[in-house]
Amino acid sequence: MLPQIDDESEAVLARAAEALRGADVPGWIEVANRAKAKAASLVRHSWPVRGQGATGEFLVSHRVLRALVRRNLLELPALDVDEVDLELDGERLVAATVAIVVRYGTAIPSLAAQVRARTAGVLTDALGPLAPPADRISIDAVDVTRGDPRLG
Amino acid sequence: MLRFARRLLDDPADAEDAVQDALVSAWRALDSFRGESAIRTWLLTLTSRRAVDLLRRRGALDSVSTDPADMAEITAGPRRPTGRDSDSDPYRQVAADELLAALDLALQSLPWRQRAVWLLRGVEQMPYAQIAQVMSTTTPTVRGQLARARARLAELMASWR
Repeated sequence: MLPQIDDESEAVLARAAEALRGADVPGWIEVANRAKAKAASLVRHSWPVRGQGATGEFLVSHRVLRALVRRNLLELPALDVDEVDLELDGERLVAATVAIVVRYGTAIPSLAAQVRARTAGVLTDALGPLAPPADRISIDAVDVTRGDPRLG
Repeated sequence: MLRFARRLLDDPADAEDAVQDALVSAWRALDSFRGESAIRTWLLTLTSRRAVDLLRRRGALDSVSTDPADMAEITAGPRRPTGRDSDSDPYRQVAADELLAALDLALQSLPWRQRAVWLLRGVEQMPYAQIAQVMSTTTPTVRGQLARARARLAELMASWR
């Protein structure tokens, strides 16, 4: 049984919360500026990956590809994406490994097939004929959770 | 983010550090951001984690304030006005400041999880499911922690009714 509070106490807490919401929070500008300066000084390593489209070849960051794959896979229920690992040979993407976390009771082989097909589709959309074939895409189920895998 | 961190940590410098670290972490991990949750939820999750790291480093993760002077200050309630101007704007401002000061002290007497859950629900007005995400826990646990936090705050601030 959870503890309950009466209406008067409820009103005091509501008033206090409102006062807190309305109170100034000094220092935000300074914190934001410091964070921006620090972020600007960080080096985020990124490797170029070659793709081919209607107008010729182009380069795209491996980070963009990882984000595209992750975003697409998170449309599937009952899984979380732990890692998207891309294997490059120079600028050519030759293979990919996707590590997933699945809910207990999920049929892993059929889910893995969906994950592989979606990953192959995303990479083909992004890189055209220079995308790796589906059989070079590995799916690892690295963890199983009882509840929603996205809640850890 | 800063409002949440300030009340969670009760130390302006630590709160600013926690928020700065959270923003830098967000920048670093931008490509792993899960688009299915609101960016606010994600940023508050990062802030909460940095704040917990700081509390742990301070050895204050499981401690709560039980200073008798603080307790007396909270339970004393508002200072009653004298004279005719008790409904004036300046008086209302003073009353709001006093209430805020008492709330700050009362919050520090809560375990950090209860404090965080009350701030996210009461002040940031987040849904239970999002709070569960920020706190890496379940919705029923959030409900339980919130009920205990509210009961404790109501008890401490009874004289403010």
